Amino acid sequence: MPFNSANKVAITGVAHSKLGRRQERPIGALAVDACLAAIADAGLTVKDIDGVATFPQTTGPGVGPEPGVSSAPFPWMTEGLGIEELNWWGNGGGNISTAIGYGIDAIATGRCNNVLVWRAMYQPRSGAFGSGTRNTAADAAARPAPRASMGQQFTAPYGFGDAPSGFAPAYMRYMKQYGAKRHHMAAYTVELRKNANKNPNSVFYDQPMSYEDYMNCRMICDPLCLFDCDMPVDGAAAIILQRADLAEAGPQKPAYITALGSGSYDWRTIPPEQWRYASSGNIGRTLWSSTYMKPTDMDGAMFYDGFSPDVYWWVEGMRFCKFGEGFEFIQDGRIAIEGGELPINTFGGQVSEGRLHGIGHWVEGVKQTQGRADDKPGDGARQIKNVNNILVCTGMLGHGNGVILSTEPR
Amino acid sequence: MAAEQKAIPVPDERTKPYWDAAKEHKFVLQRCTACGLWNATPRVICPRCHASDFEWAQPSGKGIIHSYAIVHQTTAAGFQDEVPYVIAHIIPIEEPTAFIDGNILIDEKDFDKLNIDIPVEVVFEDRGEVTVPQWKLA
Ligand SMILES: [Zn+2]
Repeated sequence: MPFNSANKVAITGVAHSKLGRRQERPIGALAVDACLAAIADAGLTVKDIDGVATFPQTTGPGVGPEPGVSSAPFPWMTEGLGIEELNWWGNGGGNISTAIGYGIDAIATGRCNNVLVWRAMYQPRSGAFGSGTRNTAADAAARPAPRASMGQQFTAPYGFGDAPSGFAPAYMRYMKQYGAKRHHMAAYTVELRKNANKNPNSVFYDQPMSYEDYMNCRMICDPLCLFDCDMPVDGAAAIILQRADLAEAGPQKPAYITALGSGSYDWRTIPPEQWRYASSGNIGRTLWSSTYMKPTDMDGAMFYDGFSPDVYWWVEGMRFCKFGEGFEFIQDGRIAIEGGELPINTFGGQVSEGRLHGIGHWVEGVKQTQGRADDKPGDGARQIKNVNNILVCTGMLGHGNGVILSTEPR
Repeated sequence: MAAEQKAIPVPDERTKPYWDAAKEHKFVLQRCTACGLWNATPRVICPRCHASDFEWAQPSGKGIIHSYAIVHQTTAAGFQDEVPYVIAHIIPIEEPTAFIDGNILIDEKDFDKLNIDIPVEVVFEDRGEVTVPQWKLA
C-alpha cells in the first residue's frame, strides 16, 4: 500500500502559545497567539492561509464550549484570525493527528496550498479536568445523584468515568501479563522529566523529578500514580502544512511528510488494552507498508502520552520490539536524547510538558527534524544529533495517525 | 451519604429489561436470536451475523476478571468516600467478546487476592430505587 502523497507536503512553521495552569488569557486569544506565531514562523501572513483544520470543535469533556472563552472552534477562529477566504477546511476525528492527516490529503490532492492546524486546551476554572466542578466530597454532597443514561448507565454507577479509570485496567493487565513493574516505568517518566527540564515551555521546566520521587508518588488509579498522568494546562499550539515546493521557498527547513499510517477500529477490540493497539498496531501496520523505511531508520519518536503506559503500546505497535517487550525496550538509556537508540518525547511529553492533546508532539517532531529543538541556544542538549527521520504518532483508542518527518524527500 | 450520590442508571427502551431483571436479582444479557452472540450492553444489530432480533437470556453469572484497577482518587459522583475501591472488566464465561464493567466487592485487606483471569460471580447491590449487578471473587 504505497503512500502516493509522500514528499508532496511539508510542515514548516510551528509555535506554542504561552502554556500554564489556569491562565487569565481566554483560550481563543491563546489559540490566535499560537496560530499567528506559527504563520509568521513559516514566513507567511494570514492571507496566505487557504486551508484550516482542527479537532475538536470544543476543548474537552465537562467544559462549557463558549467560543473564544473556553473553546477555539473553526468558525470563531476565522473571525479571531481575520480570515477572509478559504479553499478548504477540515475537522479531525479523535485526535489532532486526524485533522493533520486530512490536511495532508487536501494539499496533496490540490485543494489548497497552506493549511493552518491548531489545537487549544482549556481547563475548567475549578475542580478537576474532565469533572466539571464535582471533585470534593463536600462539593458532591451538595448535589443530587446524577442520572446516567446511554452508555454511561453501565459505567457511572460503578465509579468509572474519568480518564484514569479508562486506562488503569489496561495497564494493570499489561503488567500482570508480561511482568512489568512500576520501576520499569520510571525509565520513561524520569527521562521525560529530564527532557522537560530542557524545555522552557514545559510546566515542569523548573521541577526535577528523581527515581524516588516517582516510586513514592501517590496512586490515582492503581497502577497509575499521579506522575503517570499527563498534566492539564491551558494553552494552544499550531503548525503550518505546505505544498512541498512552496515550503522549499520559505525561511524554515521543510519537514517532509514521507510516510503516513492510520489507526483503525475492530468490533472485537473491546478489551481495554486492545483499544490501544487498535491505534498503535494499525498505525504501525499501515505506516510501515507505506514506505521502504524501517524502524531502525528512525532517529527519534514523538508518541502520544496521555498516560505513561501509552509508550509500551507505541513501541510495540510501531514494531520497535515484540508485543509484550515494550517495558524492557525503554530501559538502559535507549530512549534518552544523549546516546539513545530511539529518543522518545524529547520535549517532555504530555506527562511533563503539559497536555496539549497531541499537538505538542507534532511541534517537537518538526523542530527536531529542522534541527532547532533547542529553544534556548546554549542551554540546549535537547536537539537529537544528526536527524534524518522523526516518527510522530498521536491518538489512542482506535483513532489517530502517524507520520515520518524527514529532512529530505524519500 | 455517598451511596445516595452515586449515579443512577436511567433505563431506556433497549436497556429496561436489564435493570428490571437486576431489581429481581437476576443477571440477564441481550442475545442474538440468530447466532447466539451475547452482548455486554444492548446492540441494535449483531456485528457477527448482522441479524437485528435479540432476546434477553440469563447466563450463568460466572465470569473472569479480564482486568481491574484500584481507584484511590476519583471525580465519579458518590465514590469519593469509598476509595480505595476496585473497578473491573468482566468477561462472562459464555461470551469471550463481551466485557462488562463493574466493581469487585472486596475488602481492602484482600486486595492482594485480585488478579487477571481469575473467576468471579455476579452478586447484586441494592441502592434504594435501583439494584446494580456487581461481582465477587468466586
Ligand atoms: Zn448474530
